[in-house]
Amino acid sequence: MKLVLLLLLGQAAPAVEPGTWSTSALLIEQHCSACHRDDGAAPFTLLTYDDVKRRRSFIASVLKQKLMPPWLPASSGLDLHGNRTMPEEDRTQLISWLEAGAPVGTGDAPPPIKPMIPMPFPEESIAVEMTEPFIIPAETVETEHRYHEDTWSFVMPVENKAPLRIRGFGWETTAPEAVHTITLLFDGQGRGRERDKYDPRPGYEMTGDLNRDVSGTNGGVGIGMDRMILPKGFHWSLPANADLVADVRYRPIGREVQLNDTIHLFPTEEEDSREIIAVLTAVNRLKVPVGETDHVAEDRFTLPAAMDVVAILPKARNECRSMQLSAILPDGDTRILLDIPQWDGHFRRPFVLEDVLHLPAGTTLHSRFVIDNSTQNPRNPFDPPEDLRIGKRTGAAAFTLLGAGTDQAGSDALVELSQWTMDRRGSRTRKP
Amino acid sequence: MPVTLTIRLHLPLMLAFLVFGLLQAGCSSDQEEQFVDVTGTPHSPLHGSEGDLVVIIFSSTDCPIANAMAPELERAHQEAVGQGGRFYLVHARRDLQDATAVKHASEYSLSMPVLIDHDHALVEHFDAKVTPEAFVLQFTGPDEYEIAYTGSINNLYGSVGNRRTKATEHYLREAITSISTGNNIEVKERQPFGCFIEREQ
Repeated sequence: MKLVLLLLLGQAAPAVEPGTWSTSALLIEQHCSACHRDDGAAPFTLLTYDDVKRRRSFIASVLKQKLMPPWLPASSGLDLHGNRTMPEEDRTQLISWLEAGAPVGTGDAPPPIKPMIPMPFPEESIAVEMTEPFIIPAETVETEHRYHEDTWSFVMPVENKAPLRIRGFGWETTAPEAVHTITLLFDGQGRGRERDKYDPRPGYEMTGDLNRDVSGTNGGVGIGMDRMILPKGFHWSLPANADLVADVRYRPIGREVQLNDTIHLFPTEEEDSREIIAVLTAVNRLKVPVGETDHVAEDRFTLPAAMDVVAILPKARNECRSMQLSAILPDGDTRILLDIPQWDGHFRRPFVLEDVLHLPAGTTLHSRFVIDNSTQNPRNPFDPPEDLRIGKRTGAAAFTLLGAGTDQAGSDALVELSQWTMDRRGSRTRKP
Repeated sequence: MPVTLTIRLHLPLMLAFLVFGLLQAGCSSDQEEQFVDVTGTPHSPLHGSEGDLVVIIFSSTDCPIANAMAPELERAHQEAVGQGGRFYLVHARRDLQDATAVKHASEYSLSMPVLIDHDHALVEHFDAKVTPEAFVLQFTGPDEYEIAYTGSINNLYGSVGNRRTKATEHYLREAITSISTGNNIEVKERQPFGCFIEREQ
């Protein structure tokens, strides 16, 4: 009888016992506290029973909609470092407890949550600071460049007298609630400074791409990710007297906040380490009229040499609804490398692979992006939608693969491929 | 027992009348209570005379969706006051401290009167569901008003979790302008997206 009533009311029967605070606190600690803590990226803390109880309906709702915890990739067979996928049994358990009114259980007063605090950065790291603070405005303002998201770039001099091998970096921000993504380029030619001098404000109002080089070639970080570290045996090369050019993506929070960030570089002295090469599979031109819901844009090319892939960085405008990167191996098998069924640029971040992925020579990389330029796409940056016409310099949607060749000849071939994949954004080039 | 039974039987009917009455037939504000804002100043948002304009915004100090709209709320406040109206920010969290609300208003440059709805009198009266949620009252007579507009502030959010870079439609300000210019408000109710208001603590 109870089941019939629940069905009539449109509610699912409770699948699990709600449990108590002690069991739910462990789930919140594990899945939420890395961001919902003091100085975390989330806008409020979930550290005490009261924090959770007074938001129980909202938390249950975002859990049901799978908006939280934020993690873009669907399971694809690749193990990704820092995977925040919440097991379904944990999700169901927590929702059940919240919908039961968040019963505290019996016994002592509910203990607080112990948040997952990031480890300190290594002592030998090199701190590189912004040269002057930047004020993130209270809300997005109309600017000379009409971007689909708020973007600003900053030139941060490293002042290193000799070249360095960098295995990773950490990000220390003064505006964790507002900044959601930073991508990096190492600049040994002063190209970022050249752009900066034309903008009197701190930093400059452009993306962090420098000519053909795409921001993110030297890594990045995102929400809930304060560092990116390459696997042992891989490094980025930082030229002498280089600048970091940081492409900062932010979302205004309704009040001004000061951005005065520090990047901590983690050098390595490994002798037999391989230099990272970035290969870009991208859609560089898009023309999608208003109302088109399933516009498919694709790119594919074949690797001339074997590549050991260590990380994948996706990016796209929010008119993009979904994206998928796959590898068609020489024997004909297709392997999905990264599948993002619901793209949201706010939660964009690099995905470092737990295990190095070996792609043999002759592997075809295939990227596929589905664009929804209609009102049905709730993330469409324009309401009402506007015709989407993206020039090829902008790199409308892309996957950047970071990796290295397996020998010198292979690395040389991949460097040539890398240049071709990035040059395509600017001019006609012949495929190597 | 008889009392309980009566309430159970008539609750849906009562709710239907309440909602219908709020949206269609106008409201008579027979409530006597005054609401004291966080600076100690008393206000009577439900009382007014014919032609009065009153805007009530349910909000929260730590709801990112409500906070993101702070600049727009301040613009709407200035617009309403400029038209001779009154504008109130009502925090729906029962245990919120005055000092926290004062600090929040200062940080977000909000200059309207700020009320804390400790006993949820206003939340229940308007059946507010989320923060931010707007109620624009147009008084038709002494202490009688119609809800001229209710719902979202603007189109910054397409839904919870789906935020645009910039709002392009400003529903609340358009409603205020329409009232002051005597024009019809084309859409009187829009679904608000925001943080849920917990009725029970």
